[in-house]
Amino acid sequence: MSDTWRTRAIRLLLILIAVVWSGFPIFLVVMSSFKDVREIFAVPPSFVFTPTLDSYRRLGQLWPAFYPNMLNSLIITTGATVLTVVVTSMAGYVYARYSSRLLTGSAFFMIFVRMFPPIIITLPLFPAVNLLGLSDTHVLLIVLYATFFVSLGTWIMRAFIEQIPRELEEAAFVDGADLFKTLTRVILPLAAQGIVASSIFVLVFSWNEFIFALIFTTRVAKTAPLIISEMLSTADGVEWGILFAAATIQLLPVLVFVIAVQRYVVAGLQAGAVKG
Amino acid sequence: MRGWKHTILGTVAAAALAVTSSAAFSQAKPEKLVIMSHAVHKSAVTGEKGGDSSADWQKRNGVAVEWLTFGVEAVHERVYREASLASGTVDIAFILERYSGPQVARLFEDLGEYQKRDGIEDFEEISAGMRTAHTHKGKLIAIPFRHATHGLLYNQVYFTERGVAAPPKTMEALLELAEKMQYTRSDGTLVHGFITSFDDPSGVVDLMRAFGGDFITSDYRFVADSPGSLKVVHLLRNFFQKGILPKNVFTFKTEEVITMMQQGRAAMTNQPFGRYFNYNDAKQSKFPGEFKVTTIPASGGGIAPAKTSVWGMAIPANSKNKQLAWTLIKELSSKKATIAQAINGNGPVRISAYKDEGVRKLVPYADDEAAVLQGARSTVPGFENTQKAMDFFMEEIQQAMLGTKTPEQAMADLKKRVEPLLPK
Amino acid sequence: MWTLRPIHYLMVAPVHLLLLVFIFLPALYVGWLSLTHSTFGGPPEFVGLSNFVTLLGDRIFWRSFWNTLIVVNVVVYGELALGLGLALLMAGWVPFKRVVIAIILAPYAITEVTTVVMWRYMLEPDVGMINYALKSIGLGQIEYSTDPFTALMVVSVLAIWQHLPFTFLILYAAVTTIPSELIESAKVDGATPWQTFWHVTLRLILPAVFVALMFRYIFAMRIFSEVWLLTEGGPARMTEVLAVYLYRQAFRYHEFGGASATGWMLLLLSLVIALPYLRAMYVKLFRHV
Repeated sequence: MSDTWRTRAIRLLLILIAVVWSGFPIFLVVMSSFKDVREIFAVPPSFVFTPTLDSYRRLGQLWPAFYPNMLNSLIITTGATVLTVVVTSMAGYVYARYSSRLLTGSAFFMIFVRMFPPIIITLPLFPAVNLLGLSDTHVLLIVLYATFFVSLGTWIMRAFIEQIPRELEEAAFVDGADLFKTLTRVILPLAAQGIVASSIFVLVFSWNEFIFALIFTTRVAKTAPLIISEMLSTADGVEWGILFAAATIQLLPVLVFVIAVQRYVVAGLQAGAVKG
Repeated sequence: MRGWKHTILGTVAAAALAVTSSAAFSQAKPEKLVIMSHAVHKSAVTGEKGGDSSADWQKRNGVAVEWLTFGVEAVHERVYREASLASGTVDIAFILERYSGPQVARLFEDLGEYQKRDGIEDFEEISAGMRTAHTHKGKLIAIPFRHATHGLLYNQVYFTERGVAAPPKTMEALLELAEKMQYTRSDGTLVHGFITSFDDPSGVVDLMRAFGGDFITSDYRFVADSPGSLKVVHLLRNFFQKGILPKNVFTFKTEEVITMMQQGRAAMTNQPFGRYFNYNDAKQSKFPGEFKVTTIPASGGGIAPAKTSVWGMAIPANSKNKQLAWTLIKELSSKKATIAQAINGNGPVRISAYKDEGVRKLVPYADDEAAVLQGARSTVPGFENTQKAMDFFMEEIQQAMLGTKTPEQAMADLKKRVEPLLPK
Repeated sequence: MWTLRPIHYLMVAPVHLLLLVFIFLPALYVGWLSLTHSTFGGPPEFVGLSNFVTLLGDRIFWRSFWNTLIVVNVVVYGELALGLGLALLMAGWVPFKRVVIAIILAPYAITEVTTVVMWRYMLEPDVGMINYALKSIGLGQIEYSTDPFTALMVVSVLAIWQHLPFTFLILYAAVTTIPSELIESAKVDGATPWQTFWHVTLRLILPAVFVALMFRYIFAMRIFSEVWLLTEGGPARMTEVLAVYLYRQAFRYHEFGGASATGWMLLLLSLVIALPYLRAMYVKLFRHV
């Protein structure tokens, strides 16, 4: 396709709009975290200023729990992602390769059950979780977050694995590989991109989830978004600089991750998920 | 060598543990007492300026105190959930009267009984109003710990700029002043004459009470359609449409009011006296040291019966350490502890704390606040549907201010919606 | 080799076990709760369908219902249109393509709390950047706190901003898998760009469109933080959506029975909306096997 310079100019303009639309608000948060607190709300807004790390310093002093909570977020996010990947790969494989009335029914059950608003489920879950001694544990959030994304994950993995030629498996079978070996040696390596694609959704969700973390953690397993929202609900007023600093730190790791793997995500989705 | 040392240390530790644990067994003493609260309570009790008022207790009892802190609304949600379980892990819970009510009374111990058996010193000094705020179905479910009482906070620089010498002495003067203080400064800052928080009725109810009106009286009568209250609804509508109240005032919670004041974007507000420190905070405020606070004037003069809200300490009925928890509550409620907490920035529930020299040095508004406290009341009295009634109130007030209803119509509709909720 | 064995059922079991234990069973209990009067510290008391009757008689419930429908449709179709446009744009020539895609995906990575705080800050009437810019070019202000319609649109914009990356990603992946020969041959046959898009591109990416629509519908039905943190449903509860209504019932009034009833209504509404897509997916996905 060869573009004329006019269409190129229009393209560039549109791309610029998209970039500003997506990036500007984030840029604003990051920029504000480096401003003197009293400058953040200046009118007219200033874009030239002497950056200061004051907000970051005060974040560590006033909210010492922030970094341990970031670690909790990391543990829970990793756990939920791994769990989701393991169970959805297995299920996705079966849905891709086999069919029966029961399987079809259960596939729709997966979608149907996700339509129930999760927030209301906390009512019966809270006493049950306490009875089992699972309140304020990492495991509980890992399992819950995984649960919310197994439907989408299975869906993506199913579509992805469907694209892998059956002949490869048949060859492995002839060579004497059992189901486990076929899965780990043949399917999973070829499905790596699909795994990345499906895991990005649960990863981002787990990193940012708020309501369930609020209800089911007190201290040990508290996550970073909780601290950020606590900063918004102090009796002494919001310290905006600290809030923006915390938001910047909190969004950085996952942003870096998304950027790092975006190629695989796109490739993964291209290869399967969306062909249906 | 190291291994040898370890063995000895280990033996000693084990022996010590055996001694303490056998002692603990006989008294069934836990290792720690768990308190669930907002962060301000923790800093009031353990702050450095006034000292940790729980330190002696911890040393004497050999029990550590563990604080679990949450946001204001979240702490109640959590406390009630925990207290509803068959077996609880929270020993002392801090609750605010407006999130409480008879419906949660059965979740907590009747502290009146404890007080009879093993009383807090000079308990009567804590005002009857504060104690009733936490009494439901005849049970005293929480011992008052902290109050936040409204005063009138204003920016002295702006007063001077507009040639105003002293804060208003009557509500009428205050309202006139609000119009006068609506201006644009030479640097382009738009100053709003008067702002207040809109996340609950407390800011509006102050004004109604200044004119002899109210929302719901302490004997559960609906009076938001009385002349004094209606006058305020008209006034708010007028202020809103003139832009004296900012366009986004409906989204103002405490946090937004603080930011507006610190940024110098409003001249006056009715908020808790303690905000004085936030507004004057050199790190956050554009006008450090320039904010003053006084009492909210009533119509025709005198002090208006401002809003006060009271945090109290409660013992969940499912706590395993109720007796121990009570001894800590008793300690934290003593005169000495109240003063230490006041120095740490707490709103003290004992009048005597306002006479303490250490407190007076730090709190320039001690006399004013003590004076308001005499007549101050909760935003609404506690009953089962408090939250709902408050939501309805805000909804109808906003309708009137937006002009979708007349003030009369809005308050008549409100009456229809609130009266069925009131206890008979 | 390709016969279904018990081991295969075992392999799908973990997924279903999670869903059963953590969503389905609690949902059933919530179903029972919706027939009771229930609050803290007491056993639920059976009241039949009275929670549903109260709900259907509540003006604010209906307003929340309609608001939810408006917001959900604006958000889902807005995202679809923008996502598709963006996908087509990005499929062609773009300088620094990977950087640009990364920036487009970035909003997805941000916690909702931060998103709303950020937008509130930009939309502040006196000092916010957007209003400042609009005012300086003489366009007035965006008054989301006084005008319910504006508020709902701002809420929708926020939701679109945050979730556009999801829709974009799925559609982009689909658009880029269309063989370029198909497009070329359509051109050779004299099709206009619009005809090519309509008859070739759209047809080929339809399954992806369904996936995106379906999952976005399900998630958008629960829109909460954007409304709660921006307006709390105001002014005068005119912008309340069902999830906010439910939140008030459950977490403010502690009316667990009523909240459960609202939860089930949300499920029903989702189901009604999703039904056509579910059918289409069924036909597409399972007819060939």
